[in-house]
Amino acid sequence: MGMNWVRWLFLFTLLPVALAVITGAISLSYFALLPASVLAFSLLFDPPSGFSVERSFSRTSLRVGEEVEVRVRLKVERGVGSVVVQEVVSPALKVVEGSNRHVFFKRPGERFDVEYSYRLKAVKRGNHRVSPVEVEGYHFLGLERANYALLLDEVTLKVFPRIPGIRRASLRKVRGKPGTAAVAVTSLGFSSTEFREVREYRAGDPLKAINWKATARFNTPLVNEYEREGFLTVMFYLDASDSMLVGGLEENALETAVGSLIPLILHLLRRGYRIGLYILGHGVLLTPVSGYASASMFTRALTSVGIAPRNESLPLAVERTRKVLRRALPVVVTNLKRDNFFSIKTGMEKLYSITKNTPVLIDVDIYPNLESGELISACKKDLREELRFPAIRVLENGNGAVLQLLEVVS
Amino acid sequence: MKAVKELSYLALGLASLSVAFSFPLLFKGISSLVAEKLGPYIPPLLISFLGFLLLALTLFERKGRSLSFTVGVMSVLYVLPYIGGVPVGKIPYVALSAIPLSLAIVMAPYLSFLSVREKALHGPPEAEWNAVVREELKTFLLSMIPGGMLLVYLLYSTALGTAPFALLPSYFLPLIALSLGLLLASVDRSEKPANKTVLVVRGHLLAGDTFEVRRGSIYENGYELLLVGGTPVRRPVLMRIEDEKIPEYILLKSPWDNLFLTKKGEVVEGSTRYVIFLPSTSRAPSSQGISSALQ
Repeated sequence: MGMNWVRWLFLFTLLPVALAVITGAISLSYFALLPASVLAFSLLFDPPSGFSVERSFSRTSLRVGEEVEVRVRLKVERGVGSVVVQEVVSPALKVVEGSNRHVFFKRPGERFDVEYSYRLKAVKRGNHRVSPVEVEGYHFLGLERANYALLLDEVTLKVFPRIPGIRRASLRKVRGKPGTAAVAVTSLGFSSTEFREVREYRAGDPLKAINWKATARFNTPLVNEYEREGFLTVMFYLDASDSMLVGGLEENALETAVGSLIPLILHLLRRGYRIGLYILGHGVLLTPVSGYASASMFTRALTSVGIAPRNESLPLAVERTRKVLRRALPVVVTNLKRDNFFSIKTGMEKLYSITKNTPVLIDVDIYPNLESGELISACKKDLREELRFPAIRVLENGNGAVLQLLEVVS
Repeated sequence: MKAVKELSYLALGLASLSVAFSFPLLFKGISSLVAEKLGPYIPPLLISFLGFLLLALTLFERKGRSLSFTVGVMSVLYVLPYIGGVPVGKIPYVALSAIPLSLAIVMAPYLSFLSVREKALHGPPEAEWNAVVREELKTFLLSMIPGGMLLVYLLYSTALGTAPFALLPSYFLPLIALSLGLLLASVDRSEKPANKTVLVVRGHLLAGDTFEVRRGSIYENGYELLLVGGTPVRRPVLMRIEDEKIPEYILLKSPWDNLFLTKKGEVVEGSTRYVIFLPSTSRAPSSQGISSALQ
């Protein structure tokens, strides 16, 4: 682009001169003065350079639907021409006010200093990146190669899901009668002092459970497992296969599932349950733990979960988590469809045979929000009935389903 | 951009005006013919201007030729009578008639440059672009002032170019100006050596909306960058990697897509050397379409 322009200017500087020589009309050569003047002037100035940028975020941790203000201050020391400044933001952050791309003009002889801001709205949970600031300085006539700088480090905005509050009034009915435990008690719960086995360390195991002698001997972290008694263990299986992508990037089945699971898990942890989580497709296992202190572990795992690149069947996932399943209450969170029905049914039967507890299905159904989705929603209802296991339907707002599940658990 | 389009028409009008001046004899005949057959007298300059404007607009709008090409054609038409042997003395206001064309000649490539840049750099708000273009045009006009002032002086001193200076070889003036410009430009070249290297990774691919970057396999001349996690979406990626060792290529790999990036250029800004990696459009050496692969 630049070179063509230079060639043109050279050509049109020399052309009138050549014309004057050929025709003998010396006065024609005067008209080379204009392109020569432009060429000489533009060669005096370089493209804008000497960039420096300051950037600040009003906050870096927010919830879905909340906004963050980004302020950018750009300084350009030298040169003449246009300056393009931009940042690449994750598609899960929408620019709702202002713009993350700007173009300015740096005049000759002045020090350029500009400040602009824009607002980003988080439309989806996750750790979303805002790229470094990219600055390009273009010569005002495009004569020279543009100057370039990629300044500052990228910033990660932590976006947490909108967590619906579980209403106290609704909870009363799952609290149990006065004088009884508010939560279900089983023979499997908190660790007792009765030794069961030494097994490999799994994420979520407390450090104090590590058997240091055995670890040193086998050169792999091993922990002591004790017989458990106390509150009920609930083991969640979250399907992260591409069937959960239905609905698009912002409001899809996985988002709804995560939005329902986080408050549910936090509530159960607060009330003393032991909670475990397995994310199908990612192979992420959080061994059942109790205590609200482990809440961050679950929120972290659930906040960052995305659609898995590979599908993993429920029976396979059950097989992989068999060790942590004994007498737990399994809860499967998925988008039940005709094509995964058989796999879910087999997996739930397997869960029942291992745990001797009837597994519960949370079926995420966001189809009523989609065009012509009512028909699919009706098909899903038939599938839930055909499944012959307790099934809870979760719509866009999963609050009701959370309460239903609490009733089942209690 | 509306301003660029309007200025393009202005450039075509200016070029047509100059060409109209250089064909006085031909259109004088046409004007007389029209007056004889139809009655009204239409000035020959107007007829030729409209005729050449129509030709320029047809080339530019209907045939889709670039502005530079169209102005180039008009320039050839302008010099045609001189090359064809028409005595310069027979053409009235020869020096004055060249002014519009010389303006159009300078404007045309610049306007083409602006439209090409607009297509290449989309994104910033329209109002900002328009403001920048206005500022650039102002600077552009400013750059013409020294030459324009000298031109006015020369035209004034030589009775509109009819009595050019005999002693001063005026056609050397632009060459002198050009040499001076080059000299001044070459003085300001004092680049500092870069002491930091930053790899700029830029691409557009199907990757997670929220991903973590991990180093994947390392090859002889390049390596993989894994974008792990998130929900798949077609998205831009822009990363900076501080690394003194410059690979020949980087493979961006998400669970859903791969993007092969090759080194496309280096820019030194301040004390930092930016090595830019962009998607490669070239094919593998073993591709059937490449002749060396068939040997």
